[in-house]
Amino acid sequence: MPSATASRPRNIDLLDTWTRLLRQPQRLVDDVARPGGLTTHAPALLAATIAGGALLGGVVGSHHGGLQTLFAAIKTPLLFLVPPLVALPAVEAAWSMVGTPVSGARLRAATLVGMARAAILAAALGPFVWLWTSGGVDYHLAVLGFAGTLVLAGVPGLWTVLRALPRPAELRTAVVIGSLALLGTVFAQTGWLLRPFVARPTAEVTFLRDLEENVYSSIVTSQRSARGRYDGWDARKQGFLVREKREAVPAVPVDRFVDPTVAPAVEAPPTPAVAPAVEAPLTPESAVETSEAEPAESAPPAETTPSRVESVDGGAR
Amino acid sequence: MSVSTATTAAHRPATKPAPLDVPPPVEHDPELLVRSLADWTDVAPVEADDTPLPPRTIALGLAGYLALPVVGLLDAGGGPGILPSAIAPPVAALLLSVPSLVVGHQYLGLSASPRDLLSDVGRVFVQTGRLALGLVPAVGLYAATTGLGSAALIVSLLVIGVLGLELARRRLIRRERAAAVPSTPPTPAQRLRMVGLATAWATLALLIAARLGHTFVYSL
Repeated sequence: MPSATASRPRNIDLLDTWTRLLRQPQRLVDDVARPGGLTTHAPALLAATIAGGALLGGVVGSHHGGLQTLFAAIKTPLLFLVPPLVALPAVEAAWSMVGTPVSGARLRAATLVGMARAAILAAALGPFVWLWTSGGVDYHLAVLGFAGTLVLAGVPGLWTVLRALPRPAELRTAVVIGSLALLGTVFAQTGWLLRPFVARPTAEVTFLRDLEENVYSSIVTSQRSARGRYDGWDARKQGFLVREKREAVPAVPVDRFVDPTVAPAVEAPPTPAVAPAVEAPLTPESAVETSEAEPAESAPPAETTPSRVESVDGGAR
Repeated sequence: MSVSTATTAAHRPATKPAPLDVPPPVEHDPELLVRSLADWTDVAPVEADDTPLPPRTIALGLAGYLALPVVGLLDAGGGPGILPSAIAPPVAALLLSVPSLVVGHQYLGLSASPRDLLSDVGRVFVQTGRLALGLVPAVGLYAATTGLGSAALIVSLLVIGVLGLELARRRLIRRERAAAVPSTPPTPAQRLRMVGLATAWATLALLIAARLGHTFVYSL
């Protein structure tokens, strides 16, 4: 009996928090921002975010079916969680800059409530998305449906966050629009990094794709594809992380060129005809220089070719 | 019949003298022109924040100007001189333009203390540095996962510069207003003098930063 009475308030709290997310988000922010409020409400709010995101992700992933359903259900909550973590330090600094400092507790509370609200709304929109995508819509329409659902659910969440923050003392429009733009661009790039959510029917199912290009170049390519032009997508690996990986891979098998048998130049002085430029990378230093100057040619084909083919066929557009 | 009546009615007001609520031509009233211009360019009163900045805040602000270029240039090539050229625009704009502000302020005979002006500009510089520090994760995301780190850095520096200079301009105007003798409110011409000085200083600082930013962009 004691265990039953102990577990009942927890359930009521969970439901109560979720109800207040929709009916009284600002009061909930006030409660969470109070001392001790975060530890009380954070589990329910995080559960709402994860459950709501997973439901929408599962629905969207079911367009492809199979393992993609699970992968999308795991990744979609991250779409709600990661962008605020990346963008909120700048939002806090912007508010502080215009003379309206926001306490860290209030900012965390507003963010937590805002993203949980967006996730709950996304979950509510999930069945509509499923009805639509289960009717056999093609890949592009399914992607559009997913993006539209995120926008529909995300706007009330963002609105909750902005309303919970104090009104900036000056430059209000610039600060609010700048914060929204920052959140939007970070959200878009996070979505690009976590793709695919809606995999192409012919694509191999993967949890994450390689780091290549960015969301903006993909939008340009998508527009080109929509006009029937499928050429011109040269998905290059870019960014600091990828460059590190590329440098770590020995681009040229140096040992093959550092061959002691290729030193008869001492006996037979090279004539102008026997000194072609191809034989220049005889030392490790010159070989590395060549690999940096011409990465596309010097990189092993097994590293570059599959990722490029995958990006073209695998839903990057 | 009805058409002719309407025409007559339409013509009738034109023969009357002009209504009294038509404003006089502005160009014949220089004082009104100055007052309108001063009202238009003036800033709304906001309670000034004069609390001294703690050393930690100052250190974080200065760290932001260093950390943002370091992170934004992670994916960029270029030689060792590229980092200083990314840090230079905000710092040089401040150092080169502030003497002009103080000299111009004293030359025009305005009331605020130069120490207060320097304090306002320095405070904004530190606060925008904190904004730069706040932007580090977002710029870092782009630098780590795309080839757009340098572009994100340039956009960030541009936004920080424009916002910071506008903020500093407003605070300088407010500082001058607060320093004026309360019994004798400043005339529109006096108000316009400080507004013009602050705007000119902000434009100068922006141009210096843009010139150095141009060098930085071409060094990428």
